[in-house]
Amino acid sequence: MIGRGLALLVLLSLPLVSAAERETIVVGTKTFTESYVLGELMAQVLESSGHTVERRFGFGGTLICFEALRNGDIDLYPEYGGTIQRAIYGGLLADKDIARRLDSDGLRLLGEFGFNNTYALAMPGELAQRLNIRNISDLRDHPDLEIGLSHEFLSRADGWPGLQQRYGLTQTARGIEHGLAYQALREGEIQLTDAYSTDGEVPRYRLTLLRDDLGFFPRYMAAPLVRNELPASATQALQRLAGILDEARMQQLNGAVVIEGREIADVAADFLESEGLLSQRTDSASMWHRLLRNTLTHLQLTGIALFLGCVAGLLAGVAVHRSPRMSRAVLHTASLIQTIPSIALLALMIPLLGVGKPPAIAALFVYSLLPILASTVTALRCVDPVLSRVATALGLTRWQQIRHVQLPLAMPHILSGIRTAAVISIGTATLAAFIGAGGLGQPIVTGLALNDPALILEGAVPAALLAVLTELGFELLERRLVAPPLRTREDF
Amino acid sequence: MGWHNVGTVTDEDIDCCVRFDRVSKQLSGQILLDDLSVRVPERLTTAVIGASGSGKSSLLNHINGLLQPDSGVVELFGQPLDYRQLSEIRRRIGYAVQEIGLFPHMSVAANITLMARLAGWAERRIDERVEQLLTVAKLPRELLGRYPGTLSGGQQQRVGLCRALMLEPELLLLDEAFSGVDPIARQDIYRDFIALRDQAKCTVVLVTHDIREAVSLAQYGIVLRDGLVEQAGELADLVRNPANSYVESLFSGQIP
Repeated sequence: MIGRGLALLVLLSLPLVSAAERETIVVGTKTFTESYVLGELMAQVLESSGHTVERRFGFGGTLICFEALRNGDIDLYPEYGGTIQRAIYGGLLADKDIARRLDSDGLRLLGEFGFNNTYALAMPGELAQRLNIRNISDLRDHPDLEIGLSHEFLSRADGWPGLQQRYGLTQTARGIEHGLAYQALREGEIQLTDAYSTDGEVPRYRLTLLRDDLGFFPRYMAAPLVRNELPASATQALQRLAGILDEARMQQLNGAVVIEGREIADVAADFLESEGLLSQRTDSASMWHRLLRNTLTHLQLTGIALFLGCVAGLLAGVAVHRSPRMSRAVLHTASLIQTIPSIALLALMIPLLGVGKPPAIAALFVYSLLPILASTVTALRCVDPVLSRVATALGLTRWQQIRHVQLPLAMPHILSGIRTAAVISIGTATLAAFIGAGGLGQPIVTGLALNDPALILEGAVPAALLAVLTELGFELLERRLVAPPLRTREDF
Repeated sequence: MGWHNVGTVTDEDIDCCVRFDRVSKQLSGQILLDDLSVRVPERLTTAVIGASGSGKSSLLNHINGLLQPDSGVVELFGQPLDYRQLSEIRRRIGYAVQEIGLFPHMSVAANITLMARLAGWAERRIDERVEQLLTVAKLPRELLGRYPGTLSGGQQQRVGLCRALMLEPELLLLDEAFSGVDPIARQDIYRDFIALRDQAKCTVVLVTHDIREAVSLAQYGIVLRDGLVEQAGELADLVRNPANSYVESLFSGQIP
């Protein structure tokens, strides 16, 4: 059984290994439409010039994305000058200083795409007219305004805190997913949100962008942020994108995705074709292909984590169950870890393991540990002491007792612990997409960013199905691993 | 040293299978054995008799090392018990208890043969031994595939004995092994046990609080009270010449 388990682990690890020794260029993005569109433009231009590209789109936040780039988990992503200056390096640096700081991190900015996507505050046009709000400073007269801001804007220095200070604003703002903010505006749930000046929704929802009359927001010129060791052929290809997008065109591309609901890959290809930058269209992956790839990645993440969880949980459980004090200590530690919110645990793994699959697997492993460990310890402690005494007296060694008496008797309980861990892992693994691990969370994250329910379902439905299949799989496993008298159903 | 009046068998002329030399044991502040010295003669059945709390189960559990003495020496098969080799030694000792303790997740066959399989016995040897045990214990072969939970109490007890005797032990320890059997079935199981024992030709130490059971099954007796030996010797002798009023009161009216 152990041999088979190891073989499974090796099999599951194969894609990890091959990904590590890739020669492909990895393109990353953050989780909003424009980032996806720019990422896709860069990916297609690279592909068109003969490079192999891996798309790792949808890193959950600027710092995660930047960290991924600095660690070499990705080779490039689209970034904005103002963001580098304020959010990443946290200060007002001259352009020259920024270039030097980037260079010391092994990075550089390529030529700007040409548009300035600055932050803006948006509110419904009628409401702005009724309240007579045109400039951001007008907000001071309306302290009761319902403000919902994207989580990142809410916390970054060049976002809400700085803006509040500069303009002397007293309103309290709550966090809302950026992709849902426009809907919340339309439904009147919030009255003001942060927007990007190139958002496709601005014309569609007839929103008014408030004028930054005190000049708080810096210029956010978008450009490819790349690692220095990117081959010259790749940077040359990317330089062809310099200066080809102005605000209106960017709004148009964003709108085509968000409002017309077109595939990002098609929107990008059409644009590049019209600019004469695409020699041949690469077929975008079909939904089924995507589904298969995401499902396999998902299974890989949860499978490895669960396998490691079983090994560690069973070993630790067997090791400590005889000592009540050790059992308590181990169980308390495990439950303490379990209380860390999963998204926080994923983020905590980044400084240790970077981004991508390893930190996701580590986090899922930590989560699967508690149910397995707890059920193992409890089940072993519940084994009838008479049976243990008889087993000892008959001359079974410690290991033989564990193997032939305690573990088989504890198996139903242990299996239900593993089953719980498996279902939790499958659910939690959808969050792993935020740190670039892929899996079925990928379409959910993208769908959330693009406000595309179909895309969200493309991740959520298979994830739910996987959970159900796992339940069924464990019922079959119970038939094989649990002696008939110990089974829960009376079918023997 | 608490060794009284042993009649025709003296401690010098018996071949002994187990010897306790000044063994003391306390557990959570309670004295279980108090400087106890005693011998168990080879190839006989010895009944350890006493009220509950007299230390009789503690004595039994010292023989197979489930308990280790605080002081004193336990000798087994002519050598001091080696606590690093307990698993090997225990395979030479059969063990059956009142709660029976059959493994509920194993079939009757698996329960009986587990130790033989772990000891690497050949399949054929296992089959022959099982056949032998089943015949003597009057257990039908059909029971082999069933699980212990579906057997009657008497059948479970017989399976427990078969398991204890599977490896042809030199010594068999029984801790109130027949107390759970209802009185009507008890005579039958006594008869079958005697058959098993005579077939196995092993030394037996049985712990019981039932004088009638001791007299039915054993030739030799050890009477314990408060962790001390009141009297030890041939049972017939204990009955005829009790060393004190306690022993006398135990056996009064118990002679068939």
